Amino acid sequence: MLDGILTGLTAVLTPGNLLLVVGGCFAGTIIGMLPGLGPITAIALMIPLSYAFEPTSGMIMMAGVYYGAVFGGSTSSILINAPGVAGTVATAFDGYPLARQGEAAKALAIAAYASFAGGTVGAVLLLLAASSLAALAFTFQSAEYFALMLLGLTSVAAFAGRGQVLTAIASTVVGVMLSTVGTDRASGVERFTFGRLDLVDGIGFVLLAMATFALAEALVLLLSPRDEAPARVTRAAWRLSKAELTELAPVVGRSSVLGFLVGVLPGAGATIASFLSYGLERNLAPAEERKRFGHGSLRGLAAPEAANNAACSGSFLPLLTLGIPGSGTTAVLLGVLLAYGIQPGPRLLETEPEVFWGLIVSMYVGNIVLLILNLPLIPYLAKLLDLPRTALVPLVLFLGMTGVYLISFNVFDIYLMTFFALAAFTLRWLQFPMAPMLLGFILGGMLEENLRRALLVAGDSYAFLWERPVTLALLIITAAILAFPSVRELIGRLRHS
Amino acid sequence: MDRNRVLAILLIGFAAVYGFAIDDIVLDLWAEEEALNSRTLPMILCGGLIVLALTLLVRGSGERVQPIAWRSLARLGAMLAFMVLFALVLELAGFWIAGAAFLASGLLLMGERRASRLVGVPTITIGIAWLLLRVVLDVYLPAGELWMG
Repeated sequence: MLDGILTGLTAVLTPGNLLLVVGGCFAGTIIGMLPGLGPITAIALMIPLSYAFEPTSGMIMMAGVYYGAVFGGSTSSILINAPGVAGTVATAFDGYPLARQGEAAKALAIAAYASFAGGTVGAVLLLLAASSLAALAFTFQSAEYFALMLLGLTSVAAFAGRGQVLTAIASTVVGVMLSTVGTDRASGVERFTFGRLDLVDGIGFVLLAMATFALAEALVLLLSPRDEAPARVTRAAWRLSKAELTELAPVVGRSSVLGFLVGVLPGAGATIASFLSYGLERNLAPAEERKRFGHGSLRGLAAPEAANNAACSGSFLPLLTLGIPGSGTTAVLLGVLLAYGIQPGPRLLETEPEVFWGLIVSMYVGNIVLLILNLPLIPYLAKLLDLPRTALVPLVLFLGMTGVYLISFNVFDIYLMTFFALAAFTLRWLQFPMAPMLLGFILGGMLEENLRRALLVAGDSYAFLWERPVTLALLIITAAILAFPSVRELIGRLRHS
Repeated sequence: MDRNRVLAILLIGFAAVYGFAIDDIVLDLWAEEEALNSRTLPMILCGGLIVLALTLLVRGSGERVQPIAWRSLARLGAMLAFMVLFALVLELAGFWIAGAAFLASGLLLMGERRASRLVGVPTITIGIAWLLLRVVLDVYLPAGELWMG
């Protein structure tokens, strides 16, 4: 392994490749910040440029673009509540309220530090555990994925305050219902399209996320067009105190490890990692701190940020060791590798050690570069919130509509997004939580697909739910998480009485 | 009216539309025998949502719905209309003109009256968007059927 690390360092630490890491991170950050353009778009846009370089250099640049885009997505989540990537949705839960409280710079700084820590832990774990974790990833089949998706959905219990469990579960159910719109992948049958060709592919994630978060928020701001006095952003505003660092260190550590392990599983990825870590930290937080989740908790911001970056590192593992892309983005990267004539898989380490180790070491270098690049930009990025509300609201709405149009170039999507924005505004007015709905939407499709496949393998029998030990264990954890809020309330009542 | 009861009525309405639409899902002859077919999950979800909504209806929340002033509602309606108009004229007039018109209308609706901002904000925004999307990223956006002849 030491030889490998030295090989990687030799590959990365050349002036040309370092410049490519910096350039990739910068380009990825800018593109990722634009609503509607995420890591997949960023990488796809940079593919033609990457072919001008050697395979090792090209892949190093692409890894930088990937990380940069994920961080850029976090920036738009925090500043304008517009998560353009599923993995940064959980970032908005506490990042945006922090920004509204005048702590945008601190929120961006925490996101930067947590991302750096998560990505670093992920890169180190990838280095140390590549082969053994690859074997673990191989044992996960559809039954285990179904149970994992169910576990991810139950993190909704983490979002529920007192008396809100029912609405949180209802919100999740609505989200899963929305995910059934479109063509059923197993049978090819159209569902809930109402005869419209535009709905055959279902509802886009970016459309729903933008409508329920950014646009609904803009419509709320529209009701009171007079500005609150913007908070001044000073250099000190984004420095963390020793107490804050001490508080966040274990949160980031736990979330990074959880994020990496979940990210290793093909198809699971940064989304589930970020929601699971958010739910875990909410349940582990002291009672006083738990109330702040969803209202600007530093832990609530740091946890998903560390987890989603660690998951990005983890998602490279099935790609490099098994040749199986772990996410949509790594699927595009697989295409790039194949275009170079490189076959990822168990023999990649022997046939192309420079590419393998260069990619792993570049993740670590890329994380450092991102931190160095983005920290000085924080005061300027935070200044975006100084925009008066009269301009901010139309700008956010325009950005949202543009972002959605850029994906499909179909005006129907703008009509649909407008409808969802109105619906989300109405539901917010009734204090219906949106986050569980988005989670249900993201995981709903995968849940059904994996259940179908598991039933197919098991000969249409549900016995796999209790016959497979990992599946059973995950389901027991799921049941425990669902029961936890009620048990906690019961214990609280018994103590009072 | 109680907040959760209003929510419950909306959810029941949504579940009703969803439930009726389940009938439109076409099933093959053998699909009906499967443990999980295209209708199974939708039916479970619909039933689940109705149960949850009825529970919310019965329990309520003890809090009344917050009223919204008519002027604010009118402003909201107007902004949504502008968004629909933007989509309507996007391909006719072109992305750049439709975008500038939307931004200017939105600023006016939000109470902005300074000419410098009414002209400046749309111009700068469209300029940056054009530079980034058209020049840097080479993304095509409709120029407008009306001007293309």
